[in-house]
Amino acid sequence: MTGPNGAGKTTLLRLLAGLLEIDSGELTRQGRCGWFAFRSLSLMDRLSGMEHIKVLSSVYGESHEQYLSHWKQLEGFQEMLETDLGHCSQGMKALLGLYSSILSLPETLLWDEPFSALSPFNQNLLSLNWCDFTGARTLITTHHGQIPEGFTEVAL
Amino acid sequence: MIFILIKTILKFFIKEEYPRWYGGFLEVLSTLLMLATFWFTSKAYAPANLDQQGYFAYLLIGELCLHLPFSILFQGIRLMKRLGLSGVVDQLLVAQNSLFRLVFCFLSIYFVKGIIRLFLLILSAGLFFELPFPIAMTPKFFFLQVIVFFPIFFLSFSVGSIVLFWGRGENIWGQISSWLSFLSGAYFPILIFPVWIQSLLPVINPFALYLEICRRLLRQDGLSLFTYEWIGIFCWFFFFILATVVTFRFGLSAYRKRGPPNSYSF
Repeated sequence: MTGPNGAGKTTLLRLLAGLLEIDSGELTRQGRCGWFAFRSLSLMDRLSGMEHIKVLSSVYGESHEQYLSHWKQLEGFQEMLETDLGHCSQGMKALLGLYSSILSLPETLLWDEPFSALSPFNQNLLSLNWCDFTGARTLITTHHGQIPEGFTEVAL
Repeated sequence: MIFILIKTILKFFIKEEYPRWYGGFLEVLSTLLMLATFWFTSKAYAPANLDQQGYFAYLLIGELCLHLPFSILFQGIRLMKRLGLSGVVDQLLVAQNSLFRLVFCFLSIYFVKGIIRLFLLILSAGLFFELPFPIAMTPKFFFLQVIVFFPIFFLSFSVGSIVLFWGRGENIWGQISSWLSFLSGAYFPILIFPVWIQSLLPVINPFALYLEICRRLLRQDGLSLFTYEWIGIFCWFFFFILATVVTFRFGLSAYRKRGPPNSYSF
């Protein structure tokens, strides 16, 4: 989904995620969803990214190892895993947020402006190898001009 | 699964809470400083009806009994706010996972931390000052802490839901807690208040009831379940469960209507 600021991209995504109630009409969700919206604050600042992931994955009780090796190809991901979150950059925290959204092994991913904090290299690597990284159908919001190469379809 | 979650959180909790090697040492030091403060306060300001040691015992028992409930209460509120600010709440809601379970696991670990702190207090008081009750009473006292964890957990989750979903209430709850602590009889007997306040306290302050149960236990009067204070505690427990259900459901509904709060009170 692309559009200018204030167009309602995030609102629509929150509606689809079930984080906002619809005023009228009908909305049916099937299967489990994963959610990402960038937040700069982390749950526990003194834990490394890997420790953070271990805590969150024990919440969901699912094995996510099959995706980890792919994500390690992203710039800054390995460093984020080893660094205390209090010392991580915004981009590294965004990577953690994105990875956290797949920990429940969702069938659908809803990502709100995931590319804002990612480097062009990471944007391209992610978008060209989407299935390897997430294993889920994904709906993302982004600004005009931020659509990386791998995306050929614009839903809205 | 819940045990795996608690085990995982516990593994990293120590690093989060005590990031420096001297963290444990500072905990011991702060315990000793607190006891010294109680000791000299009691020396200077012992009420007419209590000698110095009697007042030291009074203050120490007040601290021992109320430390854990207030600690759980505040940690729960802080945790839920942090879960909201870090986006974990949204992720859990979308994945239809249980926020309740996650908060319970975290607070269970804060409970263990609180128990260690109480153990330190009792040990330090016994070694360097004076333990105001027989050491044999300690297991019963810790058992009482386990019982009180559950109502406090529900209270904490309920207040935390208000803070999380509306972004308000943390500061005012800090003020209310100070008053509840003041009016519980932790620092002086509630008999000094006018009779109408004394009669009102059990209705407005569950901590006063709980403290009375603790004092009675440590005076070796037993843990009879059919006392007026226990009945009051059970009533409060059911009220907290109800409050949790109401605040969480209404809070979540408001959150889904209006979206996340624009700001959180700090």
